[in-house]
Amino acid sequence: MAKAVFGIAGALIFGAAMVFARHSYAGHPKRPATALAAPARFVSIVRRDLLQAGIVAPAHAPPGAATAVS
Amino acid sequence: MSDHRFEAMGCEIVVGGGTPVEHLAIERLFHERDLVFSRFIPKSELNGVNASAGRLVFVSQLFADTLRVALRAADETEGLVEPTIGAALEAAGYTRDFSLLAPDPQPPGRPPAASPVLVLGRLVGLRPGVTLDLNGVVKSLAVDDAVALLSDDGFVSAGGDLAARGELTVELPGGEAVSLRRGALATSGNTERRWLRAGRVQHHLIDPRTGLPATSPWAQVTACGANCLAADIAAKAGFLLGERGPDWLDERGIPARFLTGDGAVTPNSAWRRSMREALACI
Repeated sequence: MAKAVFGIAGALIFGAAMVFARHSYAGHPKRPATALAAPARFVSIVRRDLLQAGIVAPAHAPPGAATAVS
Repeated sequence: MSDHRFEAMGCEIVVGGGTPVEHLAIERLFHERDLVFSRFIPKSELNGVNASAGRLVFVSQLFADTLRVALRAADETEGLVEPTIGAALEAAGYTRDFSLLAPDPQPPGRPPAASPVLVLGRLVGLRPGVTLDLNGVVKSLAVDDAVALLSDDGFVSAGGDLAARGELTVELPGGEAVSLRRGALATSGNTERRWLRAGRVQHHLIDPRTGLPATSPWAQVTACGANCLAADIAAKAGFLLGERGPDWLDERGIPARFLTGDGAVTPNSAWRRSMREALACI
């Protein structure tokens, strides 16, 4: 009888410790793993930024380069 | 600043500053891109992909990335800077390197419509008859990549595209000079790459809405972008949009300068603002 009680108690303690470890130990995944990806909204903002402006100013030195037309 | 010059992509490339090793690396970069993206090199990867229209093909990572950029450019310009205009360029007679083009008595062919492109990773699919031309982004991307190879201040210029590290005074077509404080300048227009077909003037800026060389009130549009890609896309869109060009670029905050055939210059509000704010900072 005592053996059975110790056996059941041991199994219950082991089970409880496993559940506790799963939910508290940092290395255990607490939910299904998902791929790391930037949020869709962030991606759309970055994509919109293809057309970003540069800065031009009045010339204050002789030209160091020239552009043609393409 | 010593300039290093060479020919690639049908134009003269000028590198200002840089070391001999950097010059070699930049030359290699342009020639490699030419081998991948030229319509006039029979064994280029672009021609291989175009020849495979109608079925799926695996492409190099460089090709897939560049095609994605070209499709994004089409997205952001409401389909104006479009990569599927290769057949329209051929229909207009742009079938060989520009330096080899001669007047052609044949009338222009019938231009095809723009078409969707499938890109899944490195897998690309074109509809039968669709021909890519990635020149809308390839040259400016090469300029951006080349200027990143410079270890110190300098610039890289390819035809109408110029990107700089450090502040640089640049002479624009028409004679005016501006100081490029940050980013890059690109000029697109119909005054240089033009030819005759059946007595009619053709040029390389195709309007995807018609499939024909664009009719625009502007002879040249110069835009200033954060990089050469942005500047080039903006300049092309500004040209193709015609009268709407200045406002469209203002809505996006892109400084641009519009030049008509008789030499009249129309800067948009963003260009004037950039000039004014620069003066206020002195």
